[in-house]
Amino acid sequence: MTGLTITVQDLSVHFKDTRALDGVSMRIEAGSIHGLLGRNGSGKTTLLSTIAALRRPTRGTILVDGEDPFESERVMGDICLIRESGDVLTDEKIRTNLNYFADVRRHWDPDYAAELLDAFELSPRKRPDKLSRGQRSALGVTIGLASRAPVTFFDEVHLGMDAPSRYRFYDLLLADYVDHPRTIVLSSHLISEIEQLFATVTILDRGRVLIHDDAEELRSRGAALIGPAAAVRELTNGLQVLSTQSLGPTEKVTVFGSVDADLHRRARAADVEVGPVPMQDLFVHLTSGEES
Amino acid sequence: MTAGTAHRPTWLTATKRLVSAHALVAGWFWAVVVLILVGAHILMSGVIPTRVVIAQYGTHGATWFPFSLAIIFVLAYLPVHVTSGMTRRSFIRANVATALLMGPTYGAGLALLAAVERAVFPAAPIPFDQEQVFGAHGLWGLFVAQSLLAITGIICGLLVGITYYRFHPLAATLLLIPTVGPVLVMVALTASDAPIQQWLGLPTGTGWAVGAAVAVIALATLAFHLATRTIPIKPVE
Repeated sequence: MTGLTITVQDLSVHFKDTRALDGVSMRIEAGSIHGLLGRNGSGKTTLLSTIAALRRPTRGTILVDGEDPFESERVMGDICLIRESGDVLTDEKIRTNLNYFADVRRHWDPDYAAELLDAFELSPRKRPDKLSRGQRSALGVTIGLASRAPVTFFDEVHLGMDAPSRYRFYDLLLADYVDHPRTIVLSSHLISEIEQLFATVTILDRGRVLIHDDAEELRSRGAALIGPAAAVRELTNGLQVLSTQSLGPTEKVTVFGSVDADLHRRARAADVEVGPVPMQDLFVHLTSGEES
Repeated sequence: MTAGTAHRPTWLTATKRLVSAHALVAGWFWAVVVLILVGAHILMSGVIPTRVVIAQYGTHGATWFPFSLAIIFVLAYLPVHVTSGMTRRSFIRANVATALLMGPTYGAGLALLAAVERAVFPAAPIPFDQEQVFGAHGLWGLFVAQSLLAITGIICGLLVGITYYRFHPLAATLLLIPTVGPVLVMVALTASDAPIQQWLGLPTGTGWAVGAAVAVIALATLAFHLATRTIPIKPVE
């Protein structure tokens, strides 16, 4: 078994009149890459911060490896939450910051940290407060990966990076996960680039769990039909349509709901291709105001 | 990969780093104090004869300087400490240990400076203000008084810093009376003939002053502990 299991039961976090989290229950298996998805303000950061013991829940329980992480030296030391801010000593050089993390992180790999600095073209002599937003995110990613914590959270940390850096991050994350499997949670509201990384997914909406499922199961909740426009329209008649794209005589219609064997047979006969639905489309549909 | 591998207690690691940070800046502080002291003697030598050891007036700087450092360090280190996987409890322990270690270095620094000054300028016949509670005990008294003042200064700096971190700036400003108050009490306890004890009708004397000083430090530490033990951690800006 690698990484640590996270169990959240009936978790609520309230800020004065705001219910940031309201009765959240979920389980993240040890050693999996989990996607935590939700719109801005849905409670993703609050959930990760509470699991990482940065705040106390108003109600409910959190167990990481069977133990409440709040003020647990053993469990807190095994959790690494990387926020976009980086949580570093801003007026100290990057080198000094990495020495600090080498001192306090049990599984820190200094050689890997140096490799990551090279990969993201960060100078160890620079100070974090002199870095651009993207470079600061890259520093956060460096700390998160090189910490090799059994539970690692990346809270929208990649959003500040440019496209080449983001793809480098995904590649590095996957490669390091293969070599050092652990529990990783990626939170984001931009899903298309990272959905292929997820084994399981949680979608939060207004502080509640909308979906907590296997990524493949989630994708199977919809389908994309591509083929001659008339045939596609006939096949999707009566189904819940999420989006329609016309490409001349060809049409692509994304539908919500499982597609049965009969529809598959009729689609084949009509020369219509049935494929998986992009998770991004499902996410937009599920979290749009009226449906939720 | 397993949880909880054997590791040095995190509060010791944090203490080492905090003491290093305090000591580095304290070095600069003492360098400036020495320069001021030499300058004061040069200026005064041609005007009036030196009647007291000037170094003893460094007590104000040696109290409020570590107080200011503690405010800066608590704001800089708390979020990084906890997001690095260490507990608030270890942060509290590390900071209190740092205060207890650094306080006596300020006491020793001031006493050493006074001793050197007395040796270099023997014309200064009155070593210390004999009215002071600790003044009658010479250099040793100066060391104890300054150590207590610096320890209290650091702990109150932590308290002020954590109050501004935790509460709205206006509320934190209003709370300055109780958060800075222990330093002022300590100044009264160490710098004059224990007026607080006289006013309260309590016995006076060095032993009682030390006892009261330890009680003040303990209360300030307790307040810092209570304010920090469950504090939510905001992102570093």
